[in-house]
Amino acid sequence: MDPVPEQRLARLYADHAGRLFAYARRHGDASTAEDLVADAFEVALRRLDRVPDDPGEARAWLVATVRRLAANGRRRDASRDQHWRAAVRDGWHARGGASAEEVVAERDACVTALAALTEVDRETLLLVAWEGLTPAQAADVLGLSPNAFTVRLHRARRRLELRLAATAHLDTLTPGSPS
Amino acid sequence: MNDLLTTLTQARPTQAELDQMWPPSSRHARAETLLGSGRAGGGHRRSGRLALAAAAVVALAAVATPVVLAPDDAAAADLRALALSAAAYDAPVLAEGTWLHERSTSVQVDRGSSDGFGNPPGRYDRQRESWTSWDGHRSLIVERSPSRGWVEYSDLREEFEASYADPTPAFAATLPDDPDGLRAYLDARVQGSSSRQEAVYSALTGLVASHTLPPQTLAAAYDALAEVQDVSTDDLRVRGRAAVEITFTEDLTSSSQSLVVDRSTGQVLEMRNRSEQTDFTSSTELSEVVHDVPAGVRAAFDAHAGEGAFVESTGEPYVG
Repeated sequence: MDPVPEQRLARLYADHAGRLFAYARRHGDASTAEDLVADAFEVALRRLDRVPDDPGEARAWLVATVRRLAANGRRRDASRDQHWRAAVRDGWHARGGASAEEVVAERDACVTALAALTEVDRETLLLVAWEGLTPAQAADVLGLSPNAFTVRLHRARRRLELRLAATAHLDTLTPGSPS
Repeated sequence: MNDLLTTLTQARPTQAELDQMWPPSSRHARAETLLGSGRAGGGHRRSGRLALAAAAVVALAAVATPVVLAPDDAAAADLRALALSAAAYDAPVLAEGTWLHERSTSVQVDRGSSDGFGNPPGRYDRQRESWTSWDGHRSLIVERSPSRGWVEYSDLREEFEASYADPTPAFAATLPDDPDGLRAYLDARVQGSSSRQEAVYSALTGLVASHTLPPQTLAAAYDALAEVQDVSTDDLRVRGRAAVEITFTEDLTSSSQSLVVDRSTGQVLEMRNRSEQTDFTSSTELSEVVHDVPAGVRAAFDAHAGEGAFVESTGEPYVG
């Protein structure tokens, strides 16, 4: 561990701030996301002894902190819908070999399918797929037991796939319909 | 297509996307504030949506001492009249042990394609009912999406530090209840470079819309808004009530944010945000003080205690 708290915080920031911003962006606009990240690191500085040494565990701890901070905003904000969609679109990594049209179609199909899910289901999927957390870490973030998380993840995946299949089916019935 | 989780995992943002979302220069600047002198400030930072965009403007033209221009006379008169209404209105008082019960409906319309489930293009609706404890430390929230057929329950118990940006009724009672004092309090805390007026507007309207301000403090907030630049007002009727729309327009981002307020009580009826991408309206249908959370609501939450937020399917189109 770094001897000076500020040095350890600086290391944590260098390692995690970018990805933490991508997570925070799902909960607010860009300036809100910046504030959430900064607030999370202020919490980390005050409670540095509670931040795990393992990088993956530290990332999960920081994600959980941002989630709690964002929950305060949720108390009074009736809709965060616009933010997560923009965050997913902005952060989408285009797979190699795919055309621009294919990437946009695949991305928008996923966004549409995710939009039909509840926030809880969406968060469950994205914590694993985008934050790269293990199921146990993601369970901690959501305050669930690992078993409960596994069940929720399974259901969320099934719902997402059914949604995507339904979208594809409708697209075949509606030639020229937007993706 | 691949399994969706696989697709999402493969699309996980790499460092290139992360850098595009939050450029390293901005990230480093924030780190300097965090690790430098600004770290221990304790006040809530608010960079403001305009702050980043304004940076380019600032680079071209250094911003000297802020010049505070009052809104036009008609808007100022409207806001001062609202202050009088708010001060005179006998709003319910959140006494110790009581709960703030609110019900609202929000609709967001995006300019985009249909979602493929029969909903109009990019239309998202949500009905929300909440019970917030008098000290603000517990919130029971039930959210429904009629068009998507789900209900979500959230029991938020997190301790948090109340501030003007996250006000609780208890915190709101400690705020200055005169316009100069309230403005001075916020001036010492909000940040926003050349978007300072937007930051002050957002702070004041955030407080007004929180439904936590005592009548005199609510009146002070309207009086303080009368001194904020780029604020305009319009007459309209909402659900049969005479109302005032208080709008802050941001030319830089071609967007506006507004509150719609009941003329006779000074209570917020709607919040609206408009931009080139989205129109969002949240209507407050009920705001009342109750002595307890209804037994049926408590039972629904108790039945799922320990699960965090939980979800009930209400049938199609949500697939259980």
